[in-house]
Amino acid sequence: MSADRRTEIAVVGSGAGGSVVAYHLAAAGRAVTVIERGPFVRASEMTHDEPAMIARLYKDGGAQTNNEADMFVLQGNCVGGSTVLTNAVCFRMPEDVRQSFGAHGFALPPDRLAAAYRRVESVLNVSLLPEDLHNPATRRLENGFRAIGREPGRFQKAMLHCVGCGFCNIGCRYGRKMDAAQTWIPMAMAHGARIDAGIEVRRIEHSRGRVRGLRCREVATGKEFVLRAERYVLAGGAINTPELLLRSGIHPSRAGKRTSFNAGAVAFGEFPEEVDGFDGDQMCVHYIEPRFGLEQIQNPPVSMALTLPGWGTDHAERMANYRRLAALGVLVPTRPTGEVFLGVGHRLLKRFFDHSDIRFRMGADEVAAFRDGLATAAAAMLAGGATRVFLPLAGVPPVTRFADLDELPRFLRDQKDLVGFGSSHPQGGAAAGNDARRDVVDPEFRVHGFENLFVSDASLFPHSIRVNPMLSVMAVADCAAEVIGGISMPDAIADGPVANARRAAVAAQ
Amino acid sequence: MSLNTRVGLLLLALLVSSPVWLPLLPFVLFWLSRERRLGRAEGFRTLPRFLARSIEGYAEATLGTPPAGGFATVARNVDGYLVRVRSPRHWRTTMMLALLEFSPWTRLQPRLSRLPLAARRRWIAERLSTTRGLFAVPSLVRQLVRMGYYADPSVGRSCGFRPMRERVRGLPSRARTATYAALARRKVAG
Repeated sequence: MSADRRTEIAVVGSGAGGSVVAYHLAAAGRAVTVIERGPFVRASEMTHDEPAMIARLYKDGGAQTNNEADMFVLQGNCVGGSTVLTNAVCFRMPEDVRQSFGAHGFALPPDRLAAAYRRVESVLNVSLLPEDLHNPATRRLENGFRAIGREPGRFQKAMLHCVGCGFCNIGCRYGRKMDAAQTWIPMAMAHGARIDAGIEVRRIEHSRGRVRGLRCREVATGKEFVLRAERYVLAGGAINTPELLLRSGIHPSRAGKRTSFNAGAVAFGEFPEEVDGFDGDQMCVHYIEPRFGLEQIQNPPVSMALTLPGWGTDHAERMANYRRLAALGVLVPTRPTGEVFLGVGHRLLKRFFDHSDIRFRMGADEVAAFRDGLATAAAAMLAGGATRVFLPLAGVPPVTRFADLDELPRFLRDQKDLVGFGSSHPQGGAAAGNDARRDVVDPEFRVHGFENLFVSDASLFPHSIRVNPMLSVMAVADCAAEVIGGISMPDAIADGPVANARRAAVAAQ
Repeated sequence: MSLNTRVGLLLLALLVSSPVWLPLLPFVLFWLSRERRLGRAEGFRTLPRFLARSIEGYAEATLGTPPAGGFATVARNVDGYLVRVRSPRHWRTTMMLALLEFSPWTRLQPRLSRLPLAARRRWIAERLSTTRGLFAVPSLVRQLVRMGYYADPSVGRSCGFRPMRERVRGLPSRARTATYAALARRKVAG
């Protein structure tokens, strides 16, 4: 093992939670080191080669599943974390969710949260997606929603001069998506933060309620070292943070419990004419209600093939009509009944099971919400002019009439009936709250019973926040940075590519 | 049944049947090393030859027109993907491919890549088109095969996909403005 390394603040994970904390603390003059297991893939190294980028940027090459292998759990494994793979969709946390978090003992004062949102939104340039970036399938879906009496919404996105290539989910090769790797991370580095990519934290060394160091390992060489700091911030996301707590024997009876998801699958509408959904932003229109959300998701060929339902030659025939397909993802916010845990294999055959497992089954009410979401998506596509709708269900024939949707309860009885079921939005697992016997983290982001260990990521959420969580994770991390660093936050942030672009625009006038 | 339980049961089955296969182990190991060598000779970096053949066979049985370089391209693309993945779960993918290849043995048939095309199609349609039961895990190979197939530019093009450089929005800004203007004029004239 090599000599110990030292820093003032150690941040584990460089995604939505870690990057924001790292920036604020570095900007306040603290010595910050960010540890990231994945590689630092610059925009200039990104390509439109889908398998290559999926292999490089996604945890387990996009093959992380729950322990029954009937649900994919997609997460980033690179500097910037999952923000690099999102569609830059930005929603503020619904007010009822904020209040519910408060009822769970995780109070986020509205003024403080609103100020955090304002700062984050200014750094990410969050604004309504311009119409010239809409893909041509959008209009059909909007018409369909209106025809069935549902008013569609348009997305707020974190982008700067987006070109509308439609490859958001494999990283933005143009550097136009304002993810953490384009914004907070370089901003933190400009203030002296150190980003150690390709290093994983194996274990937290602790005694008597105080963390003494992080046992780290270089992924490429296997070389180990200990990183010592005054304060430690866990921000690896809702799967990795609980895993690290469990590996380290910290609150083993609570860590990993109460994991929730925005779980989803995609329904496809086949139109009589070409809709060319690939030509423009992938996600332009949505319809959201409390039990489910519908979000357009047009994909390039590989990702489309991976989500399109159908077996064998049926699937090939549907893909042959790629230009005529529009897609709506159905997202259901689940209750916090999932669990991240270290299985028997981890104890017996560590070499082969050196990872946590995920347990999750949808409850009957969630399956019912899924059915309603699928029925609404199918109805909107039929009303928009689709001649056939392919539902993500095993053994279900294409839907051609509204009456076919009455059959849905027969085909969707439980999670196993779904094809291509998964989630990119895991949450919880180190839930925050004021009950030291129930919760892992206290309302001030400190792990219960520890004086110098904090959490700043989606694992804090006591339950699913219903909408795409990136913006809210960043805003909550902004609140966390204030507490962790004991710093006062600026009203506005003058760093970053967006601020630079604004200054350049003003100078040019 | 969880994946780990499945792996555990498989290990148990192997343990119970060890008197049968243990004497054959040296031959199996020799065969595996030969397949790996032959795979490398064909340019595969992670796949032994029999798994590459299995992917080709699955692709041939389930997909439409072969890519420009034939179905071997699918196996090559899958190999290219696997070589880039860094994961402690990596072995699961190899195991899943092996389960696919040897799945017909459960009905005393030749392994998948040795089955004639019609029988292979039938086997996949009847046993591997499922999200439930014994074959739910090997049926996930379809995702790898689809990834390998649609990653080929010739296949994407045949579906109608146009890469960015061939779209109006992919043109440099001056050319894009001119093209949009021409399209608008054509629309007005039309």
